[in-house]
Amino acid sequence: MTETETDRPVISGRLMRSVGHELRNRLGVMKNSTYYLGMKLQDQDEKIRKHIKLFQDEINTMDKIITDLMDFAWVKRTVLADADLNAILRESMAAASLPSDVDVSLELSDDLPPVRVDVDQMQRVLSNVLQLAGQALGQGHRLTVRTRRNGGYIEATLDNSTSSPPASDPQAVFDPLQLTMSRGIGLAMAVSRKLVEGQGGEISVESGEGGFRYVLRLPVGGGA
Amino acid sequence: MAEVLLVCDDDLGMRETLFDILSDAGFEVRLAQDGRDAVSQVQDHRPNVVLMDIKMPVMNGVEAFKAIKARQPDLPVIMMTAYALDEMITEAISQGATEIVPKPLDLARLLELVNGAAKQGMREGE
Repeated sequence: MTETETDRPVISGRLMRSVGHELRNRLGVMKNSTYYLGMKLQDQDEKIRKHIKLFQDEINTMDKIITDLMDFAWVKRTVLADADLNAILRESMAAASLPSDVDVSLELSDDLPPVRVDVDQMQRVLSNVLQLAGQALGQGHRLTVRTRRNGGYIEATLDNSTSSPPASDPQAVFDPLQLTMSRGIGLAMAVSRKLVEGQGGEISVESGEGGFRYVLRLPVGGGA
Repeated sequence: MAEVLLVCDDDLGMRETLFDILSDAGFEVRLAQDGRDAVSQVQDHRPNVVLMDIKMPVMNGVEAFKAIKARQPDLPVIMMTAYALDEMITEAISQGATEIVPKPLDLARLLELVNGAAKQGMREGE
């Protein structure tokens, strides 16, 4: 069979999945090994523990890059279910590594209907948005997270008070290979948009309260 | 007596690292390199828990899982995957896999799961 131009994206997608699988297996072995060393050397010099932790952090970063590449190259099956957006936000905020000196405020509406989303994918999107929204924040900065109903959508906004734009053109953060984050290859936000749109939602960056606002609009669930 | 854990993965590095971690956690660990080997070892060694990769040559994890469940329906089987093979994961869930964990593994979480499954396996084997 001769490869045609139309075959190429399909072959590239399969190739990327295959390479991703193999790299993840290799990272898996490295992660197991560093875990074992961490157990055995936990009473050793602080620098040894620091270097083991560095290995582990780098492995996690590489795994995220592979995940972004695979998600970008391949349309993943979306499993939609009714879910509590406030609960997903709280979990994502708890897991996010925001600077400790940032003033974080949650103003979540308590009478929201459920959203219709893929919960795993939405947690990945929020993790990416929180990483981007949080990376320019420091002492004296504020991050305000709000939810509200807006027509057939539930809207979540993340306002950060830093005046540093995430890119010269804020909408460009969703373009592939835009290096808006300190780690990665510039696919996290492109993947986030793809995942949100795959669930019938929208994601955008707007000017906010003295800074920038990340807005997620997700379809109301519950048959509403 | 230590609980017996069968680890099945076609990757030598994965088998060796999991052997060290799980042995140190107190399990008697047996190793299998593909699904067919795992089915045979389940018959020979009667493990309390099986930890098995999904994508393997000779006999993949889902096929092996079905063969194991046909012989020992109550044996807890935890599946591992580095590959988001939707159809294989869906099939493993529908066939009753105890849990499906992504690679690279979260080892602290895996140890919790394996300990929980071992207790379940012991109770059901009584």
